[in-house]
Amino acid sequence: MKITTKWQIAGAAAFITTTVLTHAAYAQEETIKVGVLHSLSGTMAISETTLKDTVLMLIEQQNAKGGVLGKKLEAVVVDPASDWPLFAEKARELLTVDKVDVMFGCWTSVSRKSVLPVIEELNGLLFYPVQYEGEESSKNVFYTGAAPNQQAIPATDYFLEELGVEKFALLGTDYVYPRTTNKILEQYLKDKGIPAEDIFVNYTPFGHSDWSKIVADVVALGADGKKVGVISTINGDANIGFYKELAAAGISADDIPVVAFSVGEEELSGLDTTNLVGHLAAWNYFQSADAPVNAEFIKEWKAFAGEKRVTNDPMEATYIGFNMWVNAVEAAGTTDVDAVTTAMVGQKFPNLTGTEAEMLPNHHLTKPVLIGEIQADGQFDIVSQTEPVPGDAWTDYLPESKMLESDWVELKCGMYNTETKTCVQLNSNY
Amino acid sequence: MLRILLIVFAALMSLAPLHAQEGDLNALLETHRASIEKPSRTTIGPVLEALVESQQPGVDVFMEKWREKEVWQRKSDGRFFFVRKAEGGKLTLIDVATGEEAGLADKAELDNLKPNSGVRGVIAAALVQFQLSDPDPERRLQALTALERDANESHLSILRAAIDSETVPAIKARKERLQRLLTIKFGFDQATRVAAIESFAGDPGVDARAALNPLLVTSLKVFDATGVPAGTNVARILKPGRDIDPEAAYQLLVEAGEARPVVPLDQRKQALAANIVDGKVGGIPVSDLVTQAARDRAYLALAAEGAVPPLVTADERAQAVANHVFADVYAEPDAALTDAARETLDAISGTVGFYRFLDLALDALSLASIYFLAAIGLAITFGVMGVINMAHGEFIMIGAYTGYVVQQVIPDYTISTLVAPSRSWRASRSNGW
Amino acid sequence: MQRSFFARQPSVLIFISLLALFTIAIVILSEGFGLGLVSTSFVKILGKTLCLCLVAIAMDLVWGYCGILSLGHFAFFGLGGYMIGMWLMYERTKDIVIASLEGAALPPTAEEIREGIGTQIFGVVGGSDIPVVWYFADSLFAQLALVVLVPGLLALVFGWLAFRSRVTGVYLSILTQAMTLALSLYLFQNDSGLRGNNGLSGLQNIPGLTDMPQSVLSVWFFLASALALSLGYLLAAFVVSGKFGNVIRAIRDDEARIRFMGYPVEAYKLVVFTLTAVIAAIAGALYYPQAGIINPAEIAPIASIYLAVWVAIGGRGRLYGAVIGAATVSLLSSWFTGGQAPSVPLGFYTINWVDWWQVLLGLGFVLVTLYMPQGIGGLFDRFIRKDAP
Repeated sequence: MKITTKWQIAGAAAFITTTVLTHAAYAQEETIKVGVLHSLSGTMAISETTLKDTVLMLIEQQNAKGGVLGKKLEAVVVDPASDWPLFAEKARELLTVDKVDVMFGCWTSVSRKSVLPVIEELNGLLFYPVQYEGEESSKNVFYTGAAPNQQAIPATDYFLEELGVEKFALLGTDYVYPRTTNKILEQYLKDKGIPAEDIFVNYTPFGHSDWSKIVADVVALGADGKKVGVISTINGDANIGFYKELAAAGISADDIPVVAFSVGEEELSGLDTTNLVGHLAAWNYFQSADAPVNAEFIKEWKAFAGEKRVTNDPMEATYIGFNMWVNAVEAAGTTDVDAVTTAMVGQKFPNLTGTEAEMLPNHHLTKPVLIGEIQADGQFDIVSQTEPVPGDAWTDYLPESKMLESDWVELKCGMYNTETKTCVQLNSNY
Repeated sequence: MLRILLIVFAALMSLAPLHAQEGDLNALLETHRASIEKPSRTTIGPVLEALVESQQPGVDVFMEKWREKEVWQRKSDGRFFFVRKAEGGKLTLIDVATGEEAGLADKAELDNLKPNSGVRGVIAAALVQFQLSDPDPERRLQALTALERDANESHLSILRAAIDSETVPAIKARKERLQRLLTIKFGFDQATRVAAIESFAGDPGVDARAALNPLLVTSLKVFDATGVPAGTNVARILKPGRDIDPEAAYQLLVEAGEARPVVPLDQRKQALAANIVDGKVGGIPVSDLVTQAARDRAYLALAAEGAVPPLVTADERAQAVANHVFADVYAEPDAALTDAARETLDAISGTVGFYRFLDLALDALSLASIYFLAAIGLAITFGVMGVINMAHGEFIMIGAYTGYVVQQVIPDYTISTLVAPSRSWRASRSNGW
Repeated sequence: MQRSFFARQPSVLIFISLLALFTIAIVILSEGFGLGLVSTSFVKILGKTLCLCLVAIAMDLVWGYCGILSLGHFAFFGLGGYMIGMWLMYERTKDIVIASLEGAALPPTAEEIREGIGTQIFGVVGGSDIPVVWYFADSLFAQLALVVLVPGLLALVFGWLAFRSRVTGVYLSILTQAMTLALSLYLFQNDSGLRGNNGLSGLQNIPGLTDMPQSVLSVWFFLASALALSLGYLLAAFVVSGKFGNVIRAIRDDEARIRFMGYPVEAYKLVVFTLTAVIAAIAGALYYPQAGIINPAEIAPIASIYLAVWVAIGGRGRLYGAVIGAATVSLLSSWFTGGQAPSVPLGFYTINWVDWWQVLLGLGFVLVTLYMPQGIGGLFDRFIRKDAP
């Protein structure tokens, strides 16, 4: 009996402690809470920590300007630890326990798909700052990164028109973004008259390091006398091995150009780029973009995070998203999600490359597409820049999604079938 | 000493005529300004032709500098300059035609022209005629590289003319090889082309195959029952059902306008939906149309009424396919060329297979030795002591870091290998996790 | 001679009554049913923790009692999750597809519905055909049976092959770890038909119960987890208390001796291995609808190693030890990643828990194994075992 009491006391004590701790975030002074949902540990930490720092810097700057609606912004930083189920758990915690008014977060598509059901259920607000595969539009998410038609399609056009590539190798890591992007690109290339046998598709697992066979295969593609180009959706550290092997095989960018969608300043900062000079990357922002507002941003970032840090495209997306949110809250006069969502559409804000970004009714941005050649110093020479392109949630190049449309203002639907004139579903497909 | 004098003299000689025609190149560039500012591979050709044909001195220098991204443009008047770094972060402008200094400018007043690599390739090809017989072997090599990437018919005669005067044996060999490759592509008479093709038997280079394969490009063609007309260079006749899918064959007939198109499934569905009368289609209630069989019945009923185009029956399709001949036909009409190319490619593929085997074997050996190296340490702790060290990979990692740090301190590769077993870096890369 | 089951296993009654009290308290305090003092997200965390406790009990049974250090039990856990996830995802999508096709002129055919479902589920990985492994996905009962059957059969076949060849000790650990790695790499491929790296998502939305708010649903799942945990505990205690329990403990202590005494060692091991795999799978099938998403990263070998670490920290060879270990580590991780742990300014350096919690957790693992070989559960022994035999 005595034992039981001891157990009970211990159990009750443990329970009370945990309950109190989870509720410790209550009863602060009147602030507007901003949730930051980026992995700070695990495999994605290297990319996502930068975005956390960006949000913290933006909040600091906004508070120095007097906050929003006369209140200070307060960051609530959580660590989903690159663990996808944990993203859903932390999002729920942010929304229900910490009661944040907005969240900035996620990098991988899996993490976004993990969070989606939670924010749609609880009517939260998420700003997603990374280029992604499209085929999605949620009422509660603003996609400030590029949709496929704002990155992959223009880069392919550049290959076709400017470099005269006739044979394509689509190399990717085996997961959702490369799979969907390559599916779109394959269809697009076929529509452009490239025969199926001139499109070589290959997927490798995460962290793949033995590239000699694949690079040899790509070189052998040139055996029928057509110019070969590589479109790379290879992600993460597999890129290091891939580029090293390209250099080792003595392939210059003039022979077989490679355009990458996941390699930016941050990724190159750890690499010796002398052998990569001339290879390409397509983004909506490069640190080398020649605009006064960009110079200012880079200066502030270096002052905040350190002299050696570089800026990259998802940071610009975070920057645009954050400022649009601030303006939308000011315009709506409240942080209420529905009011802010309505005020968000149509928001305009200058981007860092000298043009203007506009939030569209499908919750995507207009963005210029920039193509850069890698230079020896790890920066990019911008060789092509388009006018801002409106982001398309449902790609027009796939038969199953070309009749779909997203419009949260007129149609109030993220997946509207224009053929049957019905809303397929109000929630997004996670 | 004499050599320096000669160089100075040559430089003066090359500068002298520039003075005489000052401004002409600038005027020429001015007329093409828009194309030069925003060049594209598809539009730059005529501009380069005009530049080359103008025979202006300095054109080649301009094109070279342009390719090297060393041409700048003054924003205020759109004039092009070369630049040199000057004091105080400013740039000294150099006139493209005269090579004389033309004052100082701020970086903000200028735009650096950055042609993309497609344009650079076209410029390099246009520069070939200037560089192929250049006294500097470096530039001759550059020209050859440009030719290997992108050559056209006009280059063949230029290249042939440049072979005899070549003095460096290695460059001469490369020129001759390239000459043979270009002959395959652009040669005029059959005999020399066949000879050029046959000279590549057993050559494993990708460029050789790249020259030969285009000769063997085929396309699928349909002929009526009378068969293939004489004089057609046929690769092979295709038998429907064995070499070609009958469905695909029928589709080919439809495209050739020889047969009626099959009504696709979704069009049939739309036709059904459009013909709903009193909740029935062709006499079948709409609510019953939940299987494809019922829908087919309804469609046939509609077709019988003449409301929709009739279906193409399987018999009709088989008949149409049987009445035609399908063949792969070479784009190249000359059978002698295609035969020679095919034989040569067969010979090459044997050599390539052998090299690939060697390559794989060496790769396997190198990877195996790395794994062996990593595993041998584990084998000692596990085999002798019975302790399995789950953290053995950590040692490989620490080895890699040590190697890296040591290499930062001791740049000489050989010495640093003695200090730290830096090859373990490679091992850790291959292990991945 | 033989005392009653509960007298031999005093921890069972204590554990189940404590769990019951705890469960009732949480239900009363929950948002869905009671005072709303405990948030839904915390109820979910607790529900998931109970599932982890259940799989830890399975691990304790197979390792702590039978001496088989399996590094594959989290794979069975994940497989259970995948099996239930297929039904959840298929049925939810089916409802959406049928609803969207309702307005069309012609009623949809079965093929059209299947095609719609295929596009919805697999469009994201660039496909639209429903792979053959989804054959039973439209039937809840079939998938529930598969929750038990797939991991059970895998464990049976794998265990039979391994034990028959007398693979023991560290070799068995390596073998099970290889199996886990192979399974997770296979599932990472899109060709596996289970959406590759994306996994199955949106599992928290239960088809047919779409009107029920998550605050209520989470409590039901919490209750189900608590029930499963208490049944699992009961079963495990029953298994280890009788003659069977004595034999498997003897196998752990001296396998050769038991074999020479005439016991079919392989059969005993196989039963324990398969039984625990099934328990793990059931725990997984309860865990993932609460987590909301399952993907191959969950099955990575590290997860199974963590499982062994939980049991080691809690104290192996005692069932409550496994529960304590799993609950402690899981709740601590949850707390540290929540960002509520205050930073500690040291003047020259500020300790941010975000950077340090994993290091501290690892250090904790090492310290516990070095200085408390009996684990946290061993602390209780000091005053509980006085009257135990």
